[in-house]
Amino acid sequence: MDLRTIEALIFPEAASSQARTGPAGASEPSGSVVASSLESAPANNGGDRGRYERFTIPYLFQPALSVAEAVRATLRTFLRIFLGSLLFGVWGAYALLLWTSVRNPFLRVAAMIPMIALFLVLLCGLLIGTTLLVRPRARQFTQL
Amino acid sequence: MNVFGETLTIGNAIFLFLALGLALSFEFVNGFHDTANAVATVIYTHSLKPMVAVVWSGCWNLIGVLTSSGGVAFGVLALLPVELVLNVGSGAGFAMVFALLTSAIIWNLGTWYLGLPASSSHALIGSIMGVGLANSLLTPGHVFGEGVNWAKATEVGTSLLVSPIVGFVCAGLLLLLAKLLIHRQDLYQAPEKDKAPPLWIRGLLILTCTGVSLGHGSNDGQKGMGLIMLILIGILPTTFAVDLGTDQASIQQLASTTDTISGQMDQMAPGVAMAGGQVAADELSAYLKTTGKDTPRTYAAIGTKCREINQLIDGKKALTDLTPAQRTTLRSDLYLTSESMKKLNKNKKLTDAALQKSAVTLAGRMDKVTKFIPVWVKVAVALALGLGTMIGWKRIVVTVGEKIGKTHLTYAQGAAAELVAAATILAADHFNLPVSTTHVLSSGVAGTMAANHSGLQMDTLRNLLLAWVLTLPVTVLLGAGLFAFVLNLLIRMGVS
Repeated sequence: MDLRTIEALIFPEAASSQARTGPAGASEPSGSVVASSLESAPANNGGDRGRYERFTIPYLFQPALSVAEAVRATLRTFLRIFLGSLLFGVWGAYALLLWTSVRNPFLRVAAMIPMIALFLVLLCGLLIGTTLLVRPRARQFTQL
Repeated sequence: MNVFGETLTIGNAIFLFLALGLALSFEFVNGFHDTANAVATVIYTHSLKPMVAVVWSGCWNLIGVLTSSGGVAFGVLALLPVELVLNVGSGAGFAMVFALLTSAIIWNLGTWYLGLPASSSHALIGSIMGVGLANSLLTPGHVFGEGVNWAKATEVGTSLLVSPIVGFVCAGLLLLLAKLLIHRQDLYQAPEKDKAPPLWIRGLLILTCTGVSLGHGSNDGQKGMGLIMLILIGILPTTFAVDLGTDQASIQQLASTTDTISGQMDQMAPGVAMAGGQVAADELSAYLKTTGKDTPRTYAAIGTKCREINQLIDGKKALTDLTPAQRTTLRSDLYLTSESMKKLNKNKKLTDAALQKSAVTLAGRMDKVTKFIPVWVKVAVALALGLGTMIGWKRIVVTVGEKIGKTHLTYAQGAAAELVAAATILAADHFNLPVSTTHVLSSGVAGTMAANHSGLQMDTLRNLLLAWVLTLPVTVLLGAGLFAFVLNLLIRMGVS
């Protein structure tokens, strides 16, 4: 999973904005005095960028949000952060329980590998689930 | 379950990891804001490619966090209500941790979504003040507002006035000075697409970016570390209440100092006796409140606590020799005594030179035992901060680079603003200046725009100033409301 995918999972309104407007450069804020070179860069030369450069540039975001949009986006992101932390809380407690109940140091480490994999799968599931839950609302909102 | 010799229920373990998750999330969101300031100018002037810049900044943040002393981390804890710090494992302690982290995260996210570089430190301080205010309202026997550190609130207010002026004036003057001394036209033009600046100015921009990142890591990174330590001490006191790696010599030095201080304190409070350790603890807790005043009973209480500490550690080879309950008691005693001695010294209540020296020595030796941060905590915070920078840098970069002035940021403007921001961090660390790096950098860019007669986008500036002014009141209200809500919820659930 690359950083852009992570960003799209955490901030789905960005991805929906990207889907709506095409590459990020197309969604220039109205009233901006200067043209955003950062916004236009991926649109203009995305194909020229190296694999690793494209890998880490999180340009998928709507650059100018109104206060109402920002409030909604904040609450959506906070929901993800809170649910992610809650998942970490429950997972961590049971991982700790497993860790303390296994005496053999080698088996302890071996038991942690599937536990970590399970956490990553659950976290991805949670992020995808919340994204699916809020994306239709985000689209509906941005279409208004 | 038994964790490091301590019995932990599943509920406590869930709270422990939930709180750790929220603390790391706070640092992650902090990375969106503050570290983006460090990389804004290097990315915008094409001195470094975005990926290289954020990784470079993340690495220097990591170094900053790893080499930090921990002083700032525990300084943040000193702002919290004493009774909540001592009982962080209780329901009220959980409500405090949850409320202050949540309100700071929400405000940081909101301002980030609007692309406004607001101060994460101010958000955290506001949340802490909100919790203090709500605690004084909700706890019987408390005077309204006594849990709030008003001196810190004044400091934040001063910062709101000082930071923009420092940034605006210094960066503007630096740009004018550069124009006077360096006559190279290419420095004063907007960066061409994908064209790097001249080597020396590129080096300067990278250097200042490095300085800001290092300073940010060593300063702001510590706030998350402090909160994580508070959580660990509250839930796993056996392991984290005191530094179990303290050597025998340090233990004996501390024992002898407490012996000396207890004698000196008894001389300052002749005939005053404390009816046990709990009474002394209550006396010192009351003194440490912002409204607390020193009386002969304060000195007698310090003397009693010093004797208690001496009895606990005298003759011990290691702190692991203490029982879990003794370790918790030792931490509370060390915290109360050390903070009380610092307050007395700060308020110039210790007139005798020998006593002043003893107070400083005692505070230093006590801090050595209680103010420690495990390496894994530093690494976790650094990773969260670095990952946050990599994910969320762009909104702030766009604002700093393009939305403050009416023209694009030139190489010289970027260098001037960043140089002032880096110098401010160093000055703030050394002289304890109440300035915000975020505010200094943003106003620095505005200052260079004004000095260059480029014009300013007043809408952005108005929004920026509004966000800076609103940070404290909004986070105070959020922190207070969330604290009251969670505390009420926990009481209804039967958690005390």
